[in-house]
Amino acid sequence: MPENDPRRVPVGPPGAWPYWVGGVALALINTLILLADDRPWGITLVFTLLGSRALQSVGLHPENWTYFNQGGRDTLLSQFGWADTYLWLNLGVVAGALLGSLAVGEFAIRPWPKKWRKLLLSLGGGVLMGYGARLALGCSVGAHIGGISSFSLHGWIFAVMLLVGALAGIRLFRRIL
Amino acid sequence: MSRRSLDLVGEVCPVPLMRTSEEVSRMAAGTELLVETDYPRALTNITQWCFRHGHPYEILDYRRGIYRVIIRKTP
Amino acid sequence: MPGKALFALTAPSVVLLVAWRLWEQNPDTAVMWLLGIAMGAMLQRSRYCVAAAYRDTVMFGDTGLARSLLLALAISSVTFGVIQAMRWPDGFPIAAQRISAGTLAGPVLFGIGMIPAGGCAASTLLRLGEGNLRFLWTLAGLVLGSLLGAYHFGWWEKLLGTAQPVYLPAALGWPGAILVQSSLLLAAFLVIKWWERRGSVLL
Repeated sequence: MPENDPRRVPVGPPGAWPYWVGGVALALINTLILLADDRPWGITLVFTLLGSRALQSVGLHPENWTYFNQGGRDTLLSQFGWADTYLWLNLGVVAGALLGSLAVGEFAIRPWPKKWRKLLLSLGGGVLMGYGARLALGCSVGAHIGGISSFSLHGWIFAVMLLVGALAGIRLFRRIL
Repeated sequence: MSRRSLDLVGEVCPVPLMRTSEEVSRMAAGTELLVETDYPRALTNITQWCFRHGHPYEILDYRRGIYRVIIRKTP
Repeated sequence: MPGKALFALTAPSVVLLVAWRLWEQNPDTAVMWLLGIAMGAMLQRSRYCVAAAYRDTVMFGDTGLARSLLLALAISSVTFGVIQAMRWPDGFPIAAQRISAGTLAGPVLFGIGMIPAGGCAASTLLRLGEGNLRFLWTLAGLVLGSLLGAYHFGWWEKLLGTAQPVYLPAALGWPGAILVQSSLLLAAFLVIKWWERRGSVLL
């Protein structure tokens, strides 16, 4: 029944890799991304642009918002097309996870739970994350990892405030998770 | 040796480890707990937690995306 | 095993096919697609999650991910630093053009949100790749939240005004920047070790 060597901390299901492998991979691949695209990995920008395009397609004008008209973001929306590099980077991440899990038999279509409370937690959590990421001009990957790695103070600010938020979130949601 | 079970299918982090650790802490020594989860990360969390707290466990067969782990509480 | 053989043949073919089609549009896009595949596969296999690095450390004293996050930051500080020193000596054109109230409030909201969501933005992508459809709801939330955040962005900038971002090498020179960066990383590492030894968790 028990694991054999007491010094070996298990990594869980067969075929999983230790965390440090992920850490090294993250750093190295992020570096390659920086070399290829002149910017490190970022995720939430794509959501903003996709959503804005959707709004434009129903006749709204997000391009008039302050966000899109300063800070060097003037041409972001107009230049966003199907061959956008960030878009395909993140699509690749999804595909890579799909292939990775498929390769070891971990892939399975897991339908969402029926309880609307749980779906609301996911949806609400997503809204908070998306909103916060836009204010901070990045998420846990773009602003946090990218920011710190590029020696920008805002990355460290993100890390500290993220901890504050996580603590608050744990307090708030402990009972109703 | 009695066995309890915990169905955590559909739950996301941190719920699987949270519920599992609460349940194991509450159980009497010698009881077994069968945990079912479909969240691969949860399996890593749970088995590492069991290892750190000295509770032997066994990962049963993985079927259709659902992992089953049996944990035996050891004081 | 025929299943594995089939997978080994079709998967790279599909990946390369997409890469080839993208290359015709824009070679950079094809490269990013491939890098994304590599990133997604590596992070999925090693169960990476930035949200968990914070959450599991605080809740369970489980510091494995937090440590490997520090490792990633340490390595990329070196690699990014070298690239920046060579290519952008005057400062890397980072996303945060200006610091505002949003820079402080944003991560707090993000941190709160990642608890019920069960992961961060990267995790959402990875879990979707694994087939977990619950994260479609998280994804929907992320898009909606991003739009709302962009809509309100101007208000947040006006709240406390804005300031120039602090780029450490510009402010302190490279030796100073390296010193500060290493100190902060070391401090974070020590805090994690201290928390782990403390044992008790904020469950």
